[in-house]
Amino acid sequence: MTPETLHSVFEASLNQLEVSDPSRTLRSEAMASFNKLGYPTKKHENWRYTDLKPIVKAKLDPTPKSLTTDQIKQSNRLLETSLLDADAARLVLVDGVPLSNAQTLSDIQGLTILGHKQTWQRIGELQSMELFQRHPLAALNTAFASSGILIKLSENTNVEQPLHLVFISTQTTNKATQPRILIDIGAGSKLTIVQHFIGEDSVANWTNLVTQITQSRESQLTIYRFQEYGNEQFHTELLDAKIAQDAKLKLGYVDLGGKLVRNDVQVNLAEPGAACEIFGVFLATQGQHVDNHTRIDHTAPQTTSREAFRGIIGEHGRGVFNGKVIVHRGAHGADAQQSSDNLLLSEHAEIDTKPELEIYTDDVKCAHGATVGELDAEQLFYIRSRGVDEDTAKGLLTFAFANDVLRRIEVPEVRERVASCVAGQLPDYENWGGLL
Amino acid sequence: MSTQSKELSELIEKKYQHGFVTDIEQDLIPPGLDEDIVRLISQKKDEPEFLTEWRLKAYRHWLTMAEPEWSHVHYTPIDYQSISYFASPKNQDDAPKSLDEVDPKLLETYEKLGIPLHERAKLAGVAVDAVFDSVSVATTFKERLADVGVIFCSFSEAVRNHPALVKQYLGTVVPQRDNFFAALNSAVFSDGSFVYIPKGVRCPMELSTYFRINAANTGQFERTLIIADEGSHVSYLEGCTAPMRDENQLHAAVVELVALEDAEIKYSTVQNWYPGDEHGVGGIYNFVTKRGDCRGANSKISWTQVETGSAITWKYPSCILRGENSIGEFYSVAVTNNYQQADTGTKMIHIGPNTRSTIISKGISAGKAENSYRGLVRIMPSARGARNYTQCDSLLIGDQCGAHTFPYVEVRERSARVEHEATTSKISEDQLFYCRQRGLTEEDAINMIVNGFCREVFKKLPMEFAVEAQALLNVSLEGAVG
Repeated sequence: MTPETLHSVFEASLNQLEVSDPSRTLRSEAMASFNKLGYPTKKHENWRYTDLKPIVKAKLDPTPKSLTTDQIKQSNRLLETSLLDADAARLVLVDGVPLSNAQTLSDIQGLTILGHKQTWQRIGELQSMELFQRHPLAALNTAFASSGILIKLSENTNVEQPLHLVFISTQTTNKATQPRILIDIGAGSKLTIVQHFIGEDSVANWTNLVTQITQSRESQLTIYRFQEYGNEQFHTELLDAKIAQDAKLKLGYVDLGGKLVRNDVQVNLAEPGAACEIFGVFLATQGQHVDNHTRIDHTAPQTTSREAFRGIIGEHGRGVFNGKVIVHRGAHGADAQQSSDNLLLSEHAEIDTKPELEIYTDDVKCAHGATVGELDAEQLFYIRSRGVDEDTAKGLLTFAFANDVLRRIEVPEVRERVASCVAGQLPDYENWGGLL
Repeated sequence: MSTQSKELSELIEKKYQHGFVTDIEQDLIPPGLDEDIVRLISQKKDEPEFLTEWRLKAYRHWLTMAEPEWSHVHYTPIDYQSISYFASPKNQDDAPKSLDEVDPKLLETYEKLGIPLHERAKLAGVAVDAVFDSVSVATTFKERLADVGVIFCSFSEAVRNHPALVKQYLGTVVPQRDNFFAALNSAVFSDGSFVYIPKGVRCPMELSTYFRINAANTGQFERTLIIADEGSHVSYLEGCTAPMRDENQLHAAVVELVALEDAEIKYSTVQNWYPGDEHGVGGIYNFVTKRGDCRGANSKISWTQVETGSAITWKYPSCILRGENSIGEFYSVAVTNNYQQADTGTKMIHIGPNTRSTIISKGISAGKAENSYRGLVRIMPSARGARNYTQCDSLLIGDQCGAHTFPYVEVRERSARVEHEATTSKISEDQLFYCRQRGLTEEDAINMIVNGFCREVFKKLPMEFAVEAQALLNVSLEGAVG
C-alpha cells in the first residue's frame, strides 16, 4: 500500500459515498494530511525503532466492503473457540465491519451505541485535525474508516457488566481495516470495556484502529485490551483520551500475537484531579515486533499517572517501549510514576526502551525506572533447590514476571483467560502449566 | 520573606564576576569559511601535508551535513560565515619558555580569575597548559613529566614533534564525519592539548588545562587527544571561564580519549563559561563532542563534569567499551539558571564481554532554564554479561524552568543487566524547614541541600576541583531561590 496506490483508491472510495455523507469533508482533509506526511519512517523520532516498510510493501485493500458468508463463517468459528466470556454483552467487528447477528448487547441502561452519522458528527466535534497532523496513521484511518462506532454512556450510570468489543481478522484478500471507535462517558458514570483481537495464523491483514475517548467529571473508564492475533497480522492503533476533573482512566494492554504491532496511547489529564493508570504485558518471539508508545500529558494541577509495562522477548523478537510523561507549566502537584521492565529470554532478542520525562513546573513528583535483564539466577536456584527442573523453574518465573502486572485486571473471567493465554505462550508451558 | 527578597534582588543583580576582556594584540583571519581558510589555518600552523588533507576532507564532508535539530534547545541560527576561524596571540613566534616570559597582561588575566598560575601550579603540583584563545602559550612541569616519558603539550607541538602518534590516533575515536560540529572542528581546529602516557606509567601529577575564550568573534575549536598506553594511568582536568560579551560565541570542541589494555583515564571538567545575562542575552554556545574508547581489555574511562556555564550546552561525553571487562563511568552535575539551556548526557556502547558502566547525572534547573539529560545505553550482542546502572535525578527551583530526561536503552544481549532510574522533584518544604529551624538562612539551606544532592558526583572530582565546583554551584544558583 504505497501512498500512490492509497491516493487513487481513496478517490474511488470517496466517489462511492453519497453527496450528503457527513464524512466527506473530514475524509478529504485527513487524506490531504496523510498525503503531506506520508508513512512515518525510522527518521521520525517516534518511529526510530519501528519500521512500517512491511505494511507499505504489502498489497492490502483499505476500502470497507460488506461481509461475505465465508467471512461470517470464519468469524463464528473463531468466536466459538476464543471468547473471553461467552455470556458477556458484545459487539463484533469482522475486518472492520460490524457483525450483526453476534451482537448480544442487551438494553443496558444509559448506554447507546450510535452509528455512522452521529459518529462522524462527533469526530468533527472533537477537532481531530491536530491528531491527523501528529499521527499520519490516524489520518489514514479517518480517510478510509468504515462506519465507526460511538459508545455513549449518559450521566451517573454505573454499568457493572463489562462490554466486550471483539475484532476479528479473517482470511480473505488481504485487508487494511480502519476501525474507528469513539467513547463518551458522562459525568459520574462507570464503564468497563474489553477489547479482544483475534485472527487465524498466517492471515496477513492490517488493522489500523483509532479510539477517541472523552471522559466527563468523576467518571471511570476501564479498558482491557487483549491482542492474540495470528502470527502474520499487522496491527497499529492510536488511543487518544481526554480526562476531565476527578475522572479516571485505566488501561490494560496485553499483546501476544501479531507480526508487527504498534500501540500509541495518548492521554491528556486535562482537569484537576484527573488520573490514569496504564499497564501492559507484551510478548515478542519468533520475529515478532511489538512497540508500545505512550504519552501522558499532565496539563492540570493535582493530576496523577501510573504506568507499568513488562516485556518478555524471545528468540528473534523485538520489543520497544517508549513512555513519555509531560508535566506542563502550571500543573502543580502532578504525580507521575512509570516503570518498564523487560526480560530477555534468548539470544537474538532485542529490547529498546525509552522512558522520558519532560517537566515544566517544580512542584511535581515524577519518577521512572527501566530494567532489562534475564531471569535472576538466585531466584532460579531457589526454585531448583526445591526439586524443580530448570525449564519449569524458568517458565514459572517468567509467568510470575508477567502475572505481577496481569493481576491488575479486575474482571475475574478476563484475568484468568488472559493469564492462561500468556502462560500458554511461554516456553515449556507443558512442563509447568499444571502447577498454576 | 521581605529581608529575603532584598537579599535576593541583590543576588539576582550580581554580575558574572569573570567578565572582562584582556587587550592583547591578535592575529586574526577574516571571518568566513572556505577551503582556502582551512588551508590557511593549516599553513599558519605549519602542519604536515597529511593533516591539511585531513582537514579538507572534514570540511568537504561538513558542507554536506545539516546542523542537528533533535536536541531540546532553541537558539537563533548560527551564521558560520561570520565567524573568524583563527586567532592567536601576536607574540606567538617567540613563545615564552617559562612563566617569567609570559605576557604580563596574560598573567594578569589569570590573576583576575583567581588562578595565579605559578602559585597554583606549585602548590597543587599541577602542570598547567594554558590555552589562551587558540594557541598554547605556557606549559609547565614539562621536565618532570618528560622524565617518566609522558608527553603533555599543545596539539600543534604534538603535530610538529610527534606526527606519527597524531597520525595514528587522530580521528579514530571521533571520526571527521561523526557529526556536524565534530566535522566543523576537524576542518578548522585551532589548537588544544595532546597527552601520551607510555606503557606502564602512572602519570606523576594531575594534568590540567585552563581554557579561555577571549577574542571577540572567534569561535574556539579545541582538539584534545589523550592516549593512555597499556597499563598506564592519567587524570586530566579541564576548567574554563570566559569574559562577558553580548554576542554568542560558538565553541565546538572535540575530545578523544584512547585507553589501551589495563589503562585508565579520568577526565574531569568544570565548565563555567559565560552563560548570558539574566535576560538571556549573550553567552557561549557550547557544542562539544567528547568520546573515549576503551580499546584494550580491563581499561577504564571515567568522565566527571560540572557544567554551570554556557548559554547552551550540547555535550555527551561517551564511552565505547570495546575491550573485555572495560569500564565506563559518567558523573555529571549540570546547573542551568536564567535562560540557560543544557542538553547533556552520555552514551555507553557496550561491545566487549563483561563491560560495565555507571551513569550518575544530577540536573538542577532554575529561573527560566531548560535542563535535559539525554543518554544512550546500548548493549551489543557480543557484550555478554554487560552491566549498566543509570541514575538521573533532577531538581527544579521555580515553576518557570524545565527538567527533562530522555534515556535510550537498547539491549541485544540477554545476559546483560541494565537498570535505569530517574526522579524529578523540587527541594522539599520539609528539608528547608528543618534547615531554617536550625538557624540557616534560606540561601544557605538551599545551597546545602543542593550540594548534598550533587555530592555523589563532587566526590568523584579531584580535591581542588571539588572545592571550586561547590563554590561555582552556589554562585550559579544565586538569585534562583524564592
